[in-house]
Amino acid sequence: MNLNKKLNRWLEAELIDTATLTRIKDFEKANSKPLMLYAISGIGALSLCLGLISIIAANWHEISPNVKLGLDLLVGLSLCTYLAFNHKSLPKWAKETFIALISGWTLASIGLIGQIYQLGGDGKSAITLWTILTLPLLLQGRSTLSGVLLLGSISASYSLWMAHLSEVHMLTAIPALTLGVLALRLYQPIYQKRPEILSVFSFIALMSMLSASTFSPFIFYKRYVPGEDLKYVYEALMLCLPSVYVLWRLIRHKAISVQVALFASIVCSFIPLLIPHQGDLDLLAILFFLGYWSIITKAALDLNQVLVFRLATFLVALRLVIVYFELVGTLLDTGLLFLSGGAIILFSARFWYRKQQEILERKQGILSDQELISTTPQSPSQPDHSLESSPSKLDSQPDDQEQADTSQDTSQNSHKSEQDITQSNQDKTHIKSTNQKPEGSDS
Amino acid sequence: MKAQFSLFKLFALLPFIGIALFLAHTQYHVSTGSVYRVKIKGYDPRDLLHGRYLRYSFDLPTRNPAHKHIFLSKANYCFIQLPNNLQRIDIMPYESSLDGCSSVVKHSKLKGSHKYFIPEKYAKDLENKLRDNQVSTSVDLIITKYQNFTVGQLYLNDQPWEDLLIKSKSTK
Repeated sequence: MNLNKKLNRWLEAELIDTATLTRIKDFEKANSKPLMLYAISGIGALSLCLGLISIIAANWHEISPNVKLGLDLLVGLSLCTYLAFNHKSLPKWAKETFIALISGWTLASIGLIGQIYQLGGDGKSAITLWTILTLPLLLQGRSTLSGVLLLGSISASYSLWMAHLSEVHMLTAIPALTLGVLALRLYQPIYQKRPEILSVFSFIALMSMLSASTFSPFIFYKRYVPGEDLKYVYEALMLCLPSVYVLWRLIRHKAISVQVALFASIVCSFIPLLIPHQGDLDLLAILFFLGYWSIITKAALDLNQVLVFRLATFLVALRLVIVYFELVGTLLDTGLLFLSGGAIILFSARFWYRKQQEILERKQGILSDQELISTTPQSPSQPDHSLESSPSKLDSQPDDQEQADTSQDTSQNSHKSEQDITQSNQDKTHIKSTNQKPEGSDS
Repeated sequence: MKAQFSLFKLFALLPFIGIALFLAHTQYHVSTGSVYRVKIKGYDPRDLLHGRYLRYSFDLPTRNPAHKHIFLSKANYCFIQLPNNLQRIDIMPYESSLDGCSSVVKHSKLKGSHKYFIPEKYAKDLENKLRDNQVSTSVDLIITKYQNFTVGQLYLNDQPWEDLLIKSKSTK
């Protein structure tokens, strides 16, 4: 539901008044991101890049090489100098478009030089040169597009060199690098500098980790004798350990289920590759899957990640359905399996709904708690610990309620609490009147 | 802030500087390298022109009467320029002396498939000529003093390929 519809609903329910509605709309209008502008400029930049590449690939044999190279250099010089000398005055979307354009131009120019001088089309050298030349500029980007280009260039260079050198050690380092990226994402001093870029990297890293942990146990379905390759699995595991340690230190303040999820990811990714088997461990494959995604469900629940929670519960339910088809036997067995399966699915749906409500209520609780804290007057010397104190306040809520109930029993206490409420209301009025003062009035 | 500003300028100009240097470097090596005419053959007869690229391999000797056992992975090609625009190409093991060679390139660099860009409108004609073995094909191999190489002009019957194809088109 969009914001306008929601606001109208709240207005009808008399949750907000017209003045608040107008203020919210004005605020959203002033602070909303020009998404359409971003999308159009992104498509424009991409189209220009593709155009540049297509022109090079097209049949333009009639134009002399010198003219082609001269024009290409002119385009590059214009783009680079314009960005270098005007980046401060450019809006963010224009700056990001320029960065993407320069990145595309660099790749196209390498292709053009390779074509004119018949350099033989050595893909890895071209992509590596592109990565080296554009990496510092892309790191200055503040958009998802820059993150995608950076990730694309680095991963393409890495994989091309890995294929060229046939280097198994480069392959075994991938899990450690993936976990390293996740550690960088959680390390706030770095994340705060490049949130957009790190978000792209960490999203792919997280997807890779979840995929590896999900699909690795499928090897139990087939005959597997690792032989010489076992040492590479051990090597990958050993290389992972420093990243796991760093990651564990970064998540130790979070819920225990998050640490368990990290541990389970390592177990599910590596253990199936360490155990030789004859393809008769189907049950283990099922248990690994269900166990892993149940842990992810719990971690998502503790982190209030509704989307991940929904995905995890859906996967668990889907896997259960698939299990029935895997284990299907006689008609009676099938009937029984479907009956029990239906019951389990209904149970998990109920569990899923209840927990989802729990997350939403908890989120709402934290929000209202923060509101309460923000309206409580603080002396200027007191630091604002509203975010840090919110969980403890949540925990202490029942105690406070109990105290309030007890105080109502005695008249002395009730008089005192009335005074407190009056004082609190006065404070609130004071805050309101202070906030309503016109800007610039120092008094 | 000032240092950051200068750094951004440098990062923004780096792609242009890099491309300009890459171009200058390539041009320098092409203009100062030694040029040898080397025969080529289609890398895959079923798919001579992959896209707009002629896929070929160098037709170079793999045996040397002076060295009976040569491991190709540990061998160099020795290019010798002779008087009257003649040339000789020998394969030599790593351990043998390369004193008499005008240019040297490792076998590993020259082996396998290479690509030569052909504009789309000539691709079909060229493929027909190559497929029927109507022409002998060779390229200019430009070898730098750092034992790298680039490829220059493609020749069909010792004529630049464009001349031959344009001539045959006009006679049609």
